[in-house]
Amino acid sequence: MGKYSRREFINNTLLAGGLTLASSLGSCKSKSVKQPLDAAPDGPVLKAGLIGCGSRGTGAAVNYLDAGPSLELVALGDVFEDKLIACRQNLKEKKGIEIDSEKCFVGLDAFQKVIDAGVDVILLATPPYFRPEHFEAAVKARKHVFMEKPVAVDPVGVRSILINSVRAEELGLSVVTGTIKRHQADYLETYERIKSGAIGDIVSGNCYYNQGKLWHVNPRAEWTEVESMIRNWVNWTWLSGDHIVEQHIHNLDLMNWFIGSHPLSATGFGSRQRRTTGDQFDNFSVDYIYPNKVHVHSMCRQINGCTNKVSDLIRGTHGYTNCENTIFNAKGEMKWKYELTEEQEKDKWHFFWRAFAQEHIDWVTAIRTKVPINEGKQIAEATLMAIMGRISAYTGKIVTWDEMLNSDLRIGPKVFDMFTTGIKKAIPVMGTL
Amino acid sequence: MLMNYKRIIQIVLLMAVLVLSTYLFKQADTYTSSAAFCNSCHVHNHAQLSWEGSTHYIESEEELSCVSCHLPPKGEGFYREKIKRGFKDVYAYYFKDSVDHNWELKSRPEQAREHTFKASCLECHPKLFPIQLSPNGEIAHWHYQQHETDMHCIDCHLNVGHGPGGKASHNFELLNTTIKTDTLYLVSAQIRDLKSFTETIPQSSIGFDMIAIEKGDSSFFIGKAEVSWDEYLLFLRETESEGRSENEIDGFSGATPPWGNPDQGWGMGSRPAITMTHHAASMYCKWLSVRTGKSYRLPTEAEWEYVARQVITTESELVNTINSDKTKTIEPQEVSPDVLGLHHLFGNVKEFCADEFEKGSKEHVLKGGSFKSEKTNYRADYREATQHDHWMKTDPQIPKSIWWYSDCNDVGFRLVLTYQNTEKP
Repeated sequence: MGKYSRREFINNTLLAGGLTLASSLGSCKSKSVKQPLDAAPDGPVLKAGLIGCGSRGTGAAVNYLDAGPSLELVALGDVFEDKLIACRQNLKEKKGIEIDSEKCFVGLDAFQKVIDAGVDVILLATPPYFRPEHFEAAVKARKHVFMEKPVAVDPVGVRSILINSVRAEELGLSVVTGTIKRHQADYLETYERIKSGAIGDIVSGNCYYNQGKLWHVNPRAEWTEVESMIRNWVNWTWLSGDHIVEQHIHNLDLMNWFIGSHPLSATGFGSRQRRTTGDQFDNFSVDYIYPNKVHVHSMCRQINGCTNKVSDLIRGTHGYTNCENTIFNAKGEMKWKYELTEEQEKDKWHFFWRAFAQEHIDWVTAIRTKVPINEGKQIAEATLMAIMGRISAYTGKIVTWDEMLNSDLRIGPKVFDMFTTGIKKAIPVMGTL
Repeated sequence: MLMNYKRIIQIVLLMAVLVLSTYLFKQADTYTSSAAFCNSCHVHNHAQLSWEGSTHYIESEEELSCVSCHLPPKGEGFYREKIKRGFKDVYAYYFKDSVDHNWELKSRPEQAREHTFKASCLECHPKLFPIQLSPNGEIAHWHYQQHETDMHCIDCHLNVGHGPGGKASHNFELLNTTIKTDTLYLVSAQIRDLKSFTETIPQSSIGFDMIAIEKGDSSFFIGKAEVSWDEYLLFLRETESEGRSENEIDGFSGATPPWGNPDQGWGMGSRPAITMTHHAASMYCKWLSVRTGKSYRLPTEAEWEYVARQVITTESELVNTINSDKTKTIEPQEVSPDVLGLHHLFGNVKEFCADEFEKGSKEHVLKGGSFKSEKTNYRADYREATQHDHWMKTDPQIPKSIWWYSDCNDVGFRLVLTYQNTEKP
């Protein structure tokens, strides 16, 4: 969370949100945009359980606790004890709460114990390989779910998420996912304008997630192979889905959101130029084709020493937008820009950080006002889109949406414990699969 | 004053009439929607009996009547359909003889869809994914969700309202049927000249007749009848791939168990085997070739037509040789053989040919029509195409079976064997 404490951050953003709202009254903001709430309404205590106690899990727990009044975190679960202890300590320091040791669970089966620990809502923040199983268990136990992106690593997992999203809807549960742009005020405002025809009909898109290498942890002698892999999950495709799935999904979901559909096919390539860890590629370039032959070119890279760029561009018949806060006409002249307060001007990450809180505010609000929201389908589609791009790059072949939707591909071991060995580690070679 | 008094009486009377009419309408509606009322006219006792044996009758917590499924829910066209169907029923009751109704035909999925309303299924079962749904059920319902406009609940749950049996599932029983061992062939037939012969599959009790067809250098033999269930089951038992350990696998990747009853409940034995895909039929030929040491295959369209032109010259000649039951397949011996001694070249089941329907198409040629076909289509030149995707519509498996069509019950095949003239000229 950088230089701000969560509380300071929330306080500042509440103020900023108010200012934004006030200033918007005098500006030409789209009237149809529902302004984000500053906090969820009060209600009976909601007890949460956190599954996956790494840094994102801990962050999500703090975001949840800050989302409004009468919110409690009562249970923790992780595969590794040290992760759980660190999370528990962090929560104690940041939020002053002590999780009952009887409700702290360690191991591959910890998720079910958290779900059964008398909680109302569940936060899922494990590596994505585990998400379908955990989501299914949470929904079947009638728990509202916040889950981090992505939500699966293979088509079988995506299908499970789709099925359980419908099940969640049928049970009146709220499901919110970690695609933060959909909860970010500037993106929301821009989206409404594009939807109202500000750039005409969408004809193409470009999205980029070009960044440096992510982290890795050197294996230790006392760790089993499985333990080393899980502790290095962003380096193994069976655990993360590869970085096109794990990171680039933010942009891919954005494209689906603005275009209003998922792509029908993908033609991609990629390679492993510099990566020495795990089995993933370190660059992908994929051409996605949407209905009406709308093309989206997606690229993502995790290599140090290159130009970094994380952004989007959508072009329409009458102009283009960066999707975030600015709209241009066809000549490249700025037509509209999201108005910032002085304070927002100073902090270029304002909306980004705010969105982490906002997704929990929106989630808790939906639960308490009994107007469920369900982002399961949209995150499943974005995940499948990313998997489709990955498979196209791994194989060098065109991959269609229908193939993906009906594929029985499942990666990673079907059943394993911490002592399982011989998990497949082959690096894909294009044209040979 | 008097006028006002009269007016009040008029209004009160009018209201009383309205209330009474409403009450009577409701009573009449309730009565005419009851099972007792339906049964007072409907003469198909078997429907009542099969209803009483169904899961909906036995397991339902609510008391259901015929209209619960056979009319749409109130607010979704209930009265419109009730009036429409009421008139139809009254007409049928007074002007038709119930003996003439083909109840079996009306029970087939394509017709059952017409008098069973999906909206009524969904009225009681609004949840597609109840918590207790099995993993197979989840995939099947997910498949339904992807094809909601094309599919009806009864495509898979046909028997939940009438007759025992409800949930669709893999039919493992099919492959565990007891094999007859009273006759055991030790060797396959030897062909010395172009004469009809009986093929025998070694180490089995299965034999079948092949008829010689003279065509100069391209002479061949063609199956006397379509490949029967007895023959096809032997192939399934010897090659089915599910549940076998790796060291049992031979050169053939055999069929997985089908979903439900591939014989449609009509019986097996010498009836033609049906619902297999073109791929499965081709694999059968390969398997049979290895088992008999010959080169059995599907006929080419030209071969099939060559035989057909000898069999048929006028429509009247077909009368005693075709299946006149429009609802199901029959055994070949139930009809007379044609002039070449073949059974059911026309009718009973559409027969696969080896040819693609069009160049580059994934569909194949079908010849001969089936029990469902119009008589005018029993012609040598009449050709139809397989409809692979359409015939796989309700297969809930992922990926879909390559062995069994889920939605086509009138395709089968006939074998052909090229005559190898070994005599030197």
